Amino acid sequence: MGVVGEMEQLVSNELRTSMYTIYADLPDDRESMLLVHGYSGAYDRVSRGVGEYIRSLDVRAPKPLYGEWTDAAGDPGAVTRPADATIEHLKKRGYLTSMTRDQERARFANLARVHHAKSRVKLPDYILMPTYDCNLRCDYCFQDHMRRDAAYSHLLRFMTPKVVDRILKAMPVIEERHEVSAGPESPRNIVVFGGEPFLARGRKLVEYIMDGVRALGPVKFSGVSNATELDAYADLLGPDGIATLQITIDGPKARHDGRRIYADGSGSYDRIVANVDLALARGVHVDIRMNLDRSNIGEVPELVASFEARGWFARRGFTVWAAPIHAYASVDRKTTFNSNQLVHAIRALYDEHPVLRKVSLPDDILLTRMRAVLRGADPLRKLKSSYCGAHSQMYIFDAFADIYACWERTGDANVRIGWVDENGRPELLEDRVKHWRDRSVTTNETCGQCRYALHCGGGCAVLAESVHGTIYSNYCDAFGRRFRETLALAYAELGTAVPVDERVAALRAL
Amino acid sequence: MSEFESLNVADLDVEALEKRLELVEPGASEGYYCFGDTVIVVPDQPVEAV
Repeated sequence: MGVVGEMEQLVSNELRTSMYTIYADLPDDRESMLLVHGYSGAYDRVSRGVGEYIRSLDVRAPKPLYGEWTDAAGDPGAVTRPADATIEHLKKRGYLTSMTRDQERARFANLARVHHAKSRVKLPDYILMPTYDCNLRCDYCFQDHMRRDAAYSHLLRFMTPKVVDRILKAMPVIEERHEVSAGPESPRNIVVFGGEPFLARGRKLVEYIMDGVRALGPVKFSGVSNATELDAYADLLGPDGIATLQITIDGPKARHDGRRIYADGSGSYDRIVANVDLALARGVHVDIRMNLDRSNIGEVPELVASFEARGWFARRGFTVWAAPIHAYASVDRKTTFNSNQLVHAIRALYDEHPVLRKVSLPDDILLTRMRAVLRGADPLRKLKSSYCGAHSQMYIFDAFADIYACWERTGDANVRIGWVDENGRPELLEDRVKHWRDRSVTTNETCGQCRYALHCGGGCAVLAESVHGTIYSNYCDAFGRRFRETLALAYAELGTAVPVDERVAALRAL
Repeated sequence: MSEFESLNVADLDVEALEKRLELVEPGASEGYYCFGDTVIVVPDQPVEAV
């Protein structure tokens, strides 16, 4: 080893703070704080002094959410070194390391790649889109152009039974690619999505899809619907049929009827409410999505109170959640909330409107995950090396038998990842498949150095592309702040966690 | 309080991380949902065992 090599070895033997250390200070506690390690999965409570020691060895420590660091915290010579036993704990948990930054980045990338590869060995999630057509004309819809612009009118036809047959033949072949097969313990998940997939005139087709998938083996059905014509599907609704539905209501009647409108400008509220009643009566799990921005946030208490007045919260299988409208396409950023702002806006109304505590918030997944980890779940199983199923095992089939990876990128054959041929053979375009499936926290510079990356997954690819011009980029949505705030909650509220219904979870964020 | 208190996986050793990750069965990455990243919360019900 030469002089330079010896010097590098000497430097690398010195302990420094891992670049993936997360500091979560607690709002009412100045004596201690929480540390989380970004890739080891360690969650720990340390004294403030130890936190400041760690911070003193961190070249880019973030500001705390609550209070301030002491001036000494950034100066290794001005803080007290913890006991040797504590230093050993901090090393074993990953917070202190002798790796150089480059070495640690390389290790992080390797771990994330292994994790990402494992995530793809999984039964696919299938989304079937019987049509891109819809009977509503909501301004903020990401597919709105398909119905308003005649250039897209060719997209508005329905899937045919022959196309359904081809798709059904393709499913087992696709499953072989993922080295999995469906069975009693692992039923297929079929999500019916559109357009509006439950238009009355599509009833026979949806029934044909359901019968066909059932003939292949065990299956769970769910759907995303505007619910305006759901009454045409009454006998298909229920725990053994379409068991879970996400339905959107954007405000009390007047507000909703100004946003979720028919082509003639009339409102859809009354029909939707009647069909929510119907679905609940049939035993469907109804998950109401409220698309919120700064224009309708003030009416959320009235809307949720109306759900309460209708007795929906007392029904088994009724839930409601708040989703931010994203600043995307023609949506003005000034009108929107990011996820963290929406959480704060809703919580700010809790005291005056306690019924809002019944609304799920965007960070509840984080809260649930953290509670699970704090109760002994394997933290490595809770990491996210990529954001969503578009990067692992989601297949979206449209009426033309085209296959897409992401529902936000459907209706354009130029971006499909493949198609199902006339014989039911999936023809996958490997370069397009790779484009979508390879996106992970290792495939852009920002995520590769981010301490939160394996808890976040890199954010939505389409929103990242809208900001940076490529899906190989990050979309943070204030994740660091959300993570730290949520961890403080999970720690403070241990013992009050609530159950998760993953089928409903799978329908959200649409 | 003490200087350090583990809140999870008390015997975690970052040096053994690759081996631990190998033991996680394929497809068991529970952080993944097909439609993104939200979760249902049913208020006023006790937590299920993890």
